[in-house]
Amino acid sequence: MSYVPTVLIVDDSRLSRMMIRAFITQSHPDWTIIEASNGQEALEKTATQAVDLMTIDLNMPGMDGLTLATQLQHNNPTAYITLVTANIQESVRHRATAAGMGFIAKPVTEDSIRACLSSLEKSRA
Amino acid sequence: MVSASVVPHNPVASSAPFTVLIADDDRINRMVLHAMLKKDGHTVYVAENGHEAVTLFEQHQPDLVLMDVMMPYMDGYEATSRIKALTGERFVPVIFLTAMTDAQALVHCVECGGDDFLHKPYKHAILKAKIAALERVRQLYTTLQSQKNALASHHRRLQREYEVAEKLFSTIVHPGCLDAPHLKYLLSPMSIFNGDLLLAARKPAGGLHIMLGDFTGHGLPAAVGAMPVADIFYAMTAKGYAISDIVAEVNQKLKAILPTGVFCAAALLDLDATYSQLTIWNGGLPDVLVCQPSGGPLRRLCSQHLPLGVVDNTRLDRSVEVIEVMPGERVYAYTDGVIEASAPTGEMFSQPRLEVYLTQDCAPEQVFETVCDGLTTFRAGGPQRDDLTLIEITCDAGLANHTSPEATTSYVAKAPACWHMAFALDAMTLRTLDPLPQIMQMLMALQGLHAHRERLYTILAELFANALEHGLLGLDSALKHTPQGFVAYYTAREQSLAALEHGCINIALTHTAMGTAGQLTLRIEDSGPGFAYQRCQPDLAANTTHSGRGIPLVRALCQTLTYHGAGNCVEAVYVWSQGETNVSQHEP
Repeated sequence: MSYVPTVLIVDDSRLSRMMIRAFITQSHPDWTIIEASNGQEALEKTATQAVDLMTIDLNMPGMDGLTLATQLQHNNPTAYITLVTANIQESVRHRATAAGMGFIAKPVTEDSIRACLSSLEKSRA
Repeated sequence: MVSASVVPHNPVASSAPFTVLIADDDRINRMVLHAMLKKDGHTVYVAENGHEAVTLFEQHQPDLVLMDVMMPYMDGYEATSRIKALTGERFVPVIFLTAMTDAQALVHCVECGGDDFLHKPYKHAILKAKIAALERVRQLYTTLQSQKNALASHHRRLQREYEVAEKLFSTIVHPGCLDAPHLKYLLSPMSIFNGDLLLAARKPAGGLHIMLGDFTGHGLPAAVGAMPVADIFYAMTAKGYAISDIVAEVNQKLKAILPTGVFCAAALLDLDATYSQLTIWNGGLPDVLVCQPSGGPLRRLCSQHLPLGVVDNTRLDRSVEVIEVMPGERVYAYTDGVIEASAPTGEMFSQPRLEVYLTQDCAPEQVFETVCDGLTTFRAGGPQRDDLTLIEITCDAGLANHTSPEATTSYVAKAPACWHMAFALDAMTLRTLDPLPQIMQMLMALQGLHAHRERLYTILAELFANALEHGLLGLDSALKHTPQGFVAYYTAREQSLAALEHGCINIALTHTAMGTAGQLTLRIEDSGPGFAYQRCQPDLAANTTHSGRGIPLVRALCQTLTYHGAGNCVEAVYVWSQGETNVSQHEP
């Protein structure tokens, strides 16, 4: 049986989660997708679950996306992490790029998710 | 302290001369200052006391005032207060001329509006430097002031443009029949323009269409897309199109006009004339909830589709869900703004919390207000992050029919003419097209029977549905009498129609003139086996089609209704007169 990747989508907007899920499912209907609406929920849901790809909204109430991404990366060193954001400060970009994370600009489109998935494949190759 | 040596390097020090007012009761002092200022090219006015200073200030509006403190008639403090009150938006520096070193007295100078001090004995270089420094402040102030004015006038112009746009917007995106007694709604936009969209329109043959939409983002950019959507929704509903047709049309429009990444999560709801059947297409909105009048578990109609404007029509799934609803049941549709509204702690209102409010033990007619109050309390005055919309529809045909008639443009029917038109629809056409809106449109174009539109649509829709569902598809309407059977009936209808290979339906409309009256004969014939109509009259009375209220209603609307042949052909005669009042008519 072939390996089925698991994706974690963290975003406080239900609609954003839905769109990302739809775009991923379109090309990979068999992948396992976990959704979380905040940092706490994301940590709980991935405590006992290995994740291959994470898309994390940067601006969320409570724990911010970068703090969460850093923690999740610590727990899942092999996961490919992408930050999703409408506007990004240079300092954040530097820190995230240094940590090997990718970026997707909001609003998320079919093309940006496709690019993200091919980055994942490259990082796995 | 500005040193005299830097002054020559300061371009402002030798700047354009300006007008200076000197107020001093000492003649020698006045002469000294006057001479210094004259030498630098300034225009000088001289006052001997505070009172005269105020008068001269009013007359000449100088750019700078040199003010002694102790003077007869009015002292420097008082004169400065008055002068500062006269300057309005202009910045006119006042320099106090003083030999005092008493801290309290100096503080008092500043309190009265003084900007600087010049100590006796006066030195020309220092006076010049102070004037230069104050000139810099004055220029800064002037620049700031003119920017402020420019900003204010820009803001006013924008406000006016917004008001005009808002008027245009609210005319096109009007709320339709949202004021009907069985509808309650909450609209809470973040700005003048709402990125949420709530539309309601009565269908030509009774019943209701509702559309709730939520555009990506908020404010003007989000609201612009609402205009074509509202146009399409109202026009197509009035012509009798089904919500799946409206979904396709709106999607195509939005896909074409919206920039990438902007789309509209939407739910379209269709309630039939008896308010017993709900048809829904939910693309990206939160679960639409159906609540029983007595509390208890609710039904969730979750999003099955992508939002409108994401994919093109070839990839759009326009299939709808149909459920049976009971009298008194309430349907709730809402945008993400409701469940994602946050408390000051950052916690979200959430769908589970909304469901708790909806299923709590409370009089049904108070549930909506309780939810709104709960939402306000939860947010506790915190900032609103998204547009927020909630609608409640009570399934109560009685209440719905109290709706006051919508204002209709008073179309005038055309003089009765003689014409005939006929359609022969084969299986492929029937599978892919609802012919009724087109037929109605032609009927209106030919004869202008807008006042009769609802009645004619009802007759046509009922007879066509009978021909298709019973005549061609062979469905048994007895199936509909139980809640399970109801869904089964609808599913069977969809499946049989999709598989329809043979058969046809012929529709013929014949209009004849009889003076000022017109007679329209509708003849619908299907290629099915027919039925023993001579023996089935009582059964017909109980036969309601999936789309409405059945044969008894049609019989009531027509002059005559007769079956022919094997029962596979029906003829309805409708008579109208030009003298009738031209308002939209309602079923009894």
